[in-house]
Amino acid sequence: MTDPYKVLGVGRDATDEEIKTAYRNLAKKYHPDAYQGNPLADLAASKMQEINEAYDQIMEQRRNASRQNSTGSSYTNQGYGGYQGGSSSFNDIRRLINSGRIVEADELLNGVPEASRGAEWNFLKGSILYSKGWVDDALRYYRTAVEMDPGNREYKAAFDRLTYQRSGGMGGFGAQNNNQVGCTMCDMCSALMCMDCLCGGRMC
Amino acid sequence: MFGYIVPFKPELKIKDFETYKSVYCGLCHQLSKSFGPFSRLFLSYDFAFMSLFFMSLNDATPCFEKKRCISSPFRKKCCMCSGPELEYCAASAATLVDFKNQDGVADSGFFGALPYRFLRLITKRPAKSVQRTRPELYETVEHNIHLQAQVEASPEVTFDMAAEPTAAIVSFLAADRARDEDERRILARFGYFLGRLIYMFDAADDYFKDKKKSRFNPYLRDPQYCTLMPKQLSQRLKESFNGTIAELIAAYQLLTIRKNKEILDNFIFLGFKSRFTQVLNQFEGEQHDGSI
Repeated sequence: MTDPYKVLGVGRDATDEEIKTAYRNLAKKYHPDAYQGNPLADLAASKMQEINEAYDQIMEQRRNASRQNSTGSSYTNQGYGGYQGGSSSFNDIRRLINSGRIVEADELLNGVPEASRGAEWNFLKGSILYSKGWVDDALRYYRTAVEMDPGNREYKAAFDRLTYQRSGGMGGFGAQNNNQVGCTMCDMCSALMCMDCLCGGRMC
Repeated sequence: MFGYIVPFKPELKIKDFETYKSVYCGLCHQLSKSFGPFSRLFLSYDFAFMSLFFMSLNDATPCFEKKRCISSPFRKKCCMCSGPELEYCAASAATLVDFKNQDGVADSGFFGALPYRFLRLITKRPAKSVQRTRPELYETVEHNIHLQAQVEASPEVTFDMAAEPTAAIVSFLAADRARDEDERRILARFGYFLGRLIYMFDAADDYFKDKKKSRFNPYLRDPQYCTLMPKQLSQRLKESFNGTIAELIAAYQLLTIRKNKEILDNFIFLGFKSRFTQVLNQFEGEQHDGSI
């Protein structure tokens, strides 16, 4: 059994606050949203589960030791099972993408006549390209999908994620400084995650 | 001799820099051991990084020895002992350099090809030996070098398309060292984006030279980039760099790094960006000499 303290990267004498901070930082890195559409999403989900279990185990041990109320629990994986929804004609393609059969998905997609290439077609094309690693081209197709169907949350989420990456959100130029004062996107994200785990049907 | 995959020295501990240098020395000696003294020319920062990276994935205790160096004849240098990771990177470097020389011969006129023909005298035999001992590696490099030529000859080219062969080669090299299926998948994706990054460095660094000599450059052919002025192009390149590094980091985070993590973190979170900033300075008017 792996040492939960080692999983979270903290010492056994870490305070509850330090443990929560360590958990939050790890959750930010391995959160399913950060791996949406990534071929490695399942491996990230396993890592997230390991982190959740370690956090829960430590909190349980400490709770039992001090006999106080629970200080909160881990962020439950809401099971982002890949691409879902959409019209039935593209469901086959979605299934192929989800199971990693990118070449077949691409062939099927390219077989769709030009006249039927709407927002969903562009979104799926973008997803296939993203899976291959052609992230520049993927962005163009996501952008077209959003332009064709601005209300669709799935397309917007994919486009926003790549745009966030390109603006330095995940490293590189324009990356947020850790010492930055004020509310950054990371603060927003972690605040939402914390609200979710405390109020997501458990305590509120 | 050089390459773009370098650490960010100001934030590197001296002990870590010494470790990195010993890997560079180790690779030089390995090249000589595997392929003869002239093959030291195949040495590059990129493969020194790959060697260090591969070593970091396992628990084996690193072994160092003092060896003489051509570049420092009076003082012996600390050098990583020969091992499977150095052997693999030496073989990969030898293969790639030979194919690049073949390319040079094919692409140039009679006189332009002479330097490449001369270099092939050194590179041909090492590459043939890799073809015998590591046929899959050789064939993957061969296939992708030919693919590169096809892409460059296509009427419509995007950067992603042009980067694919290099990305595929490095993806193969990385995944080839995996010990299980999960690690193979992560290494394949990490290698893909590392290769893509190397191609991006090359293409950005050669942009003005290629433009002047009317040579192929993805940024001169991709409709998203070819109409941009240098300052706008620089901004777009930063975005593309960010997108690539984000994916590289996403894969890197899933790996179990057993040693040298601080050094690898320095490369990935600081070194790449710092070096790319230097490359982009050309778009603001400055040059870099190619050293670390």
